[in-house]
Amino acid sequence: MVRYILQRIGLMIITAFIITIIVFVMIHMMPNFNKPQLGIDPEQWEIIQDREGYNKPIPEQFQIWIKNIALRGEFGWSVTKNSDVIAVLKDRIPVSVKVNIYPFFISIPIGFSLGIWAALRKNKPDDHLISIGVIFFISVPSFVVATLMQYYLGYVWDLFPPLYAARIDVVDNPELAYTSIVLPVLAMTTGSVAVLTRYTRAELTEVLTSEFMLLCRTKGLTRRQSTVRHAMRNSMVPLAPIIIGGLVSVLAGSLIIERIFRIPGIGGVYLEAFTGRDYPLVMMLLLFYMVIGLVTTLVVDISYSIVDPRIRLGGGKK
Amino acid sequence: MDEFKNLDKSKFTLVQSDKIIYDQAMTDKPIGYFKDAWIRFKRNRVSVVAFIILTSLIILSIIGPYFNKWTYDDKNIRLKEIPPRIEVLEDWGIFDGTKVLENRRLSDFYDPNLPEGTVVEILNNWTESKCEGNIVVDETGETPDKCYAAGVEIPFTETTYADILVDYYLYVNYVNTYGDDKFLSLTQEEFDAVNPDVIVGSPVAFTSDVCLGTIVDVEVAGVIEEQCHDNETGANIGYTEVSMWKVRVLYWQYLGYEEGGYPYFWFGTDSQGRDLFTLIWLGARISFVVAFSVAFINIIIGVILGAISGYYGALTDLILQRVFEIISGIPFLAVLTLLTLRFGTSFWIVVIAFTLTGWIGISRTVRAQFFRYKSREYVLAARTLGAKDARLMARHIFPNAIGTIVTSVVLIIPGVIFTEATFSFLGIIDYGATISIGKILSNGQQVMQHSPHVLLFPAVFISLLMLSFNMFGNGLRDAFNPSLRGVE
Repeated sequence: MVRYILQRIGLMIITAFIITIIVFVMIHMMPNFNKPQLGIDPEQWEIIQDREGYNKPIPEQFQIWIKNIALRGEFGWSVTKNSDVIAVLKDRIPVSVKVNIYPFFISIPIGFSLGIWAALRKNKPDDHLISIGVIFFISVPSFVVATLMQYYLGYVWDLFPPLYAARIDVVDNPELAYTSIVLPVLAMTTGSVAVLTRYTRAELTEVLTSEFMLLCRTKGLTRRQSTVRHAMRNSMVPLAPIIIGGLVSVLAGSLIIERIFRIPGIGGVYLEAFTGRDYPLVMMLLLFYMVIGLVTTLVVDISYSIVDPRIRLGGGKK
Repeated sequence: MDEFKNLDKSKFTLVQSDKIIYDQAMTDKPIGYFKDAWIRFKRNRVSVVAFIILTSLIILSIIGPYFNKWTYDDKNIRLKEIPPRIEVLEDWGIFDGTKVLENRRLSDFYDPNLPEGTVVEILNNWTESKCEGNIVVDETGETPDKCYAAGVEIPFTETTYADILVDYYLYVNYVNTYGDDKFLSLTQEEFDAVNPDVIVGSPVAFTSDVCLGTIVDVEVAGVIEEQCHDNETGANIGYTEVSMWKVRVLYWQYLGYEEGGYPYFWFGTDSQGRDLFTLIWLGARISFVVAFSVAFINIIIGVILGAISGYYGALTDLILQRVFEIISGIPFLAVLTLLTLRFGTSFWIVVIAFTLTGWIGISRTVRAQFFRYKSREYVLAARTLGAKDARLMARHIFPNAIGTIVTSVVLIIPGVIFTEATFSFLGIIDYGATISIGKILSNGQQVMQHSPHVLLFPAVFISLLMLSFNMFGNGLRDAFNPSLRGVE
């Protein structure tokens, strides 16, 4: 097991390194990469250029970049934010986590109960109702759901603040800190509840129709006992890794939700960096997203092999 | 049981004994794999309905933009954010071209020029007091606040505001005719072409500096300056003084409608005064074209690489799998961002961004199928008969993968449409002059407080599209893989 995990981590580091080089080279080959941005002080630009080695060949720039990370913990200078990119990240990640963590924890119990309910009442009216809801919220894009919620709940019926409250507003009106995240949380919850419900229902119906369930009933267990003790446990096996993976991606925030509700999180800063052509910041965020993605896959794979040893035995590539 | 053992043979007669009985020839047509799938698919009514909706949306995206006379280029800022108005339905009180104007000065709506029937209903009104000068507050609170201007006490001005439901088509006409600064500035030629009947009041002549060529930004001594250059020679020709007319016209009639007549914008107009109906089908068109080309390219690359990897196995497979793993580790966002930052967003760049990493899913499915079937006896038999690798792969193993490929294609296409719409909503994909659904939605989101129709119509369209694609996909998957039915 330890060997397997170490092997996977080693592979992940190699992959991450290769992708980093690709992204670094691509970003540093942008035609206007080392032109000073508009409105920057020429002296300051000189200092940045010197420190990041912008006027040297790209392999040398990469060495300098690595050296800066190792020696000073600096990942590059963002001109538009006027600080080191890692500081920008540190500043924004908590905001994203704050907004993302609620939907994550709210959707798990709701999604599970709806999925279990639908599976147990398969092909009855309530199952159909849940299935229609699920297919609706999976199909309709999240930005449509979010904007419609913003329009109806925020503007027309005036139930919640339509936009995320900035720090200044919260000082005057402390309850805004709670009310203004209701809509983004709600918008994200609907989507993940739908996904979870679908998975839970699919897994549980598959287990419920398998042959060992018949065995459970024939050996004398009641329907309730066999469902709770045998079916549910087995159906949780593929679900646990999905949830653990979701926890990692909470860090990354959501581009859509943060743009619609003007949340200054990771997604929001990414769009700012993209439109402002702040290349070092764009690169840092892309690398951040890549690491999140790779770690999520790794965590999912490892937790699969922990909860279900069959996968580890049978799934070896060689 | 015993009574059956000793049956009397005379009780039995032969049906016939003079002919040899052959097997009957098959009268039915044989049912192949696809026919079988089609029969199963037809039984699923929801999927069939979804398929019909989907087909009509695709057809509409081809012919929809020609249903009315407006095109993408017909933008008129004076006609911006007009609410939808549809024949027949308007008589039932929906889509009748009315709109609530919030927070307006009520006195403006008693203008005698305002045509009859413009104001449908005054929803609520309130009065605000405002001081035109300085407010002096009595600290003791005994007397009310006073308003002073230039040392003289003046009364507070009281204004009544209201939310007013208006027939917006009439209102637009009125505003563009009588509104402040809404006169037209016409050159002499344009002025002569205007039908004198539609002119309101008396035209005013004035002179203006106009550039007869193109305005170019030129850097003169470190300062950027606008210069007027001749279209052909490129010389700086300066601005020409032209005599112009300030005219107020009855706007709909100026645009060529009969007196009292005005157009039907079925879905209303967007914030640049373009017809939303046309825009949505144009946006749908680009979504479909991107999605179909991406699916096509992904299948080709995915099938070829998956087949090679699965068929040859061993070292080839190992190397290819490591490469796939690295490529699939690159987030799609990174691919898209790097490409658009480097090459700008054109149609092909978007397609390339989707295909660079998109084929991996298909190649995995195909590889799995090849692994499963390559060591079957019938493949061995074909090889013994002398079939080459390419023939084995294409004729004997690949057909096994068709079902899974069809299913995954039907899931790839809505996935691509979804992602494309999302990123064009975010502004990362921006085709410039070409509209996309995401862009309409993002414009709609900005104006949704007062013009929700710009948001609602594309939202309904994309939701309907995704819903019917998913329903259709589910039906198709059940039809091709009956063993999966009921599991999800």
